[in-house]
Amino acid sequence: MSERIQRRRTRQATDDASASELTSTHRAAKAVDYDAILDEIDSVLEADAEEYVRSFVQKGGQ
Amino acid sequence: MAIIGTETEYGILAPDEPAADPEVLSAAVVDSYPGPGTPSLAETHNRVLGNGARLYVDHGHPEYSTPETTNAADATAHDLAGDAIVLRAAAEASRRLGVRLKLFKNNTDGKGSSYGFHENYLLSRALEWESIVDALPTFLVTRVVFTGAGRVGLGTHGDSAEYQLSQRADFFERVSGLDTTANRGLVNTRDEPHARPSRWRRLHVIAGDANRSPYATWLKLATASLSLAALEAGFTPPGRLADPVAAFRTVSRDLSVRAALPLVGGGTASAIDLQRRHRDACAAYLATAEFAEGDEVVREWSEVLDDLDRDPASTADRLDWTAKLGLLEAVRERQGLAWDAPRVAQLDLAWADLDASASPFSALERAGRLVRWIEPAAVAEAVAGPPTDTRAFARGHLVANHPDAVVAATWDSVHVRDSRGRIHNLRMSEPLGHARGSIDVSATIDRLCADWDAASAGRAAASDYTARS
Repeated sequence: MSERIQRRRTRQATDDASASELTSTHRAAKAVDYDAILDEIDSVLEADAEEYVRSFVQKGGQ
Repeated sequence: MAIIGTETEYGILAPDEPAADPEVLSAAVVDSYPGPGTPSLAETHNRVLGNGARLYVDHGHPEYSTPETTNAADATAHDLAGDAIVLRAAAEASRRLGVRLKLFKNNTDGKGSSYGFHENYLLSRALEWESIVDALPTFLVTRVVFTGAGRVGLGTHGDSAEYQLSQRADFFERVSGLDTTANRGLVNTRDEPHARPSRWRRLHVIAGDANRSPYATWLKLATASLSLAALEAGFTPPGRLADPVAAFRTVSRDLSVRAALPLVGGGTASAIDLQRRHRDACAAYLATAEFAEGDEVVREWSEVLDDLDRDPASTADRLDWTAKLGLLEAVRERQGLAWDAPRVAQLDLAWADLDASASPFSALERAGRLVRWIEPAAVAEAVAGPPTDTRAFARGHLVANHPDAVVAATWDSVHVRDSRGRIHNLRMSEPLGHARGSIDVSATIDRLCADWDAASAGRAAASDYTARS
C-alpha cells in the first residue's frame, strides 16, 4: 500500500485568516471577491472574447 | 484493494493559428515532453513515461493515462501530474513550433464535439457483469450533482446558452455500448484488462466529466471505486432509474438538484436520494471489510450530499459546477450580461485552461477559495516517479533508469535488450505485482533480466506442476 494515503488531507483554505471559518459547514457562505479574481486573469484573457470562443473548435474524441 | 487509473483527452488550441492541424499540434506536445520517457516514434506519438504513465495522441488531442494506483488520493495526484506534464510539454512544443499553445481540461467545444475523461477500475472477473450493468447507470447519472464540471450551453452544439452541471450529459445516447466516439453508452462494454483476463476485468467509465477541482476528482474516483467494491461484495442499493439516458440530461439541467426522477417499477427519487442509497450500501459494506480511505469517503460523500440538499452554493469551495456557477452569476449580475454573452462563454472556457494565469479556477485556488485537498508535494512526486505499490513501479523504473535498454513498453510488459543484444519480454500480467521491493533498483539490466527470466520460469514450472497434479 502506498504511503501517500496515510497522509491526512486538510480541508483548509490557504487563506489563514478564514481557515477556521472555512472548515465549518458554511465555508462558502463567506463572500468571494469576484472582482479581484477577474482582475487577476483579465490581463491575460484574449481581448476579443467572441472571436476567441468561436476559434475553439475541437475534433470529436472518445 | 482498488486499482484505479484515469485518462484525459485535453482540448488544444493555437490561438494565433486557429486553423492549425490539431494532430500536428498534439504530436508536437507528446514529442516535446522533456522528462524521462520512451522515444516518440513518427508514426505513433505514443510514449511511456518514467512515472509509469502513458502520453500519446488520440483523435487530435494530447491524451494522458495515469499509471495504475491503489486508491483515489494517489489516482488524483497522478491525474494532476498529467496536467502538469502536458502543460510542460506544451510550453516546450510552443517554443519549438513558434506558436502559442493552450491546453484545456474540459469535455466539449460547444460546437458538437466531445472528448473524454475516462476512469478505469479493475474488477474481479468473478463479478457478474449483469450486476454492473444493472446498478451502474443510476450511479453514474446521479453522481453528476458532485462530479459535474459545469457548462454554459445546452445541447451538443450549445444551441441554448444556459448553464448545466455536466459537460458530457448531452453526448450519451444509450444505456450501454462499446462505442466511445459516437452513440456513446453510459456503461461502456469494452473489456481490455491489460492484465490476466481470467482474473481481471477492466471497467472503462466514459460518462464522467473532467474536473479541475482536485476534491471533485477525488470524490468521483473514491465513490466509484468504493461503490464497485460494495457491489462486488453483494451490497446493492435499491432504486433504478427508469430511463437513465433521459435522466442524465434532467439531472444535468437541474440547478436546484431536486428533480424527481422516475424509477423502474414506479415512484420517483431525486439524484441526492439515489446517491444516499449508494452511500448507505457502501457504509454497510465498510462494516464488513477494509477499504483504503473508506470512512473518509463516506464522510465527505455524506457532507457534500447534505450541503447540496441544503444549498448547492455551499459546495462552491469543493465542486467545479457550483464554484463556476458562483463566478458566472456574479459576472452576469455586475456586468448585466445574459447567459449568451461572449464574456460568459470565455470564462467558461478559461475555467478549463491549464495556464494558471488565465484560469478563474486557478485564481480562486490562489485566493484560498477552494479546499486544498491534494498536497502539491504529492503531485510533484507523481510527476517525478511512479506509484510504489503497483507494477507501474517496475515500468517507471525501467523507463527512467534503463532508457537505452527499453525497446518497447505497454501496460503489461516491457521489452528490454540486455548487454549482449538479446531481447527479453518482461511480462507484468499482475497489476499488484512488480511493486517497490519486488525489483532490485540497483541491479544492472542484465541482472534484472536474469532475475525476471528465472522468476517467470519458476512461475511456469509451478503452474505446470499444478496443472499435472
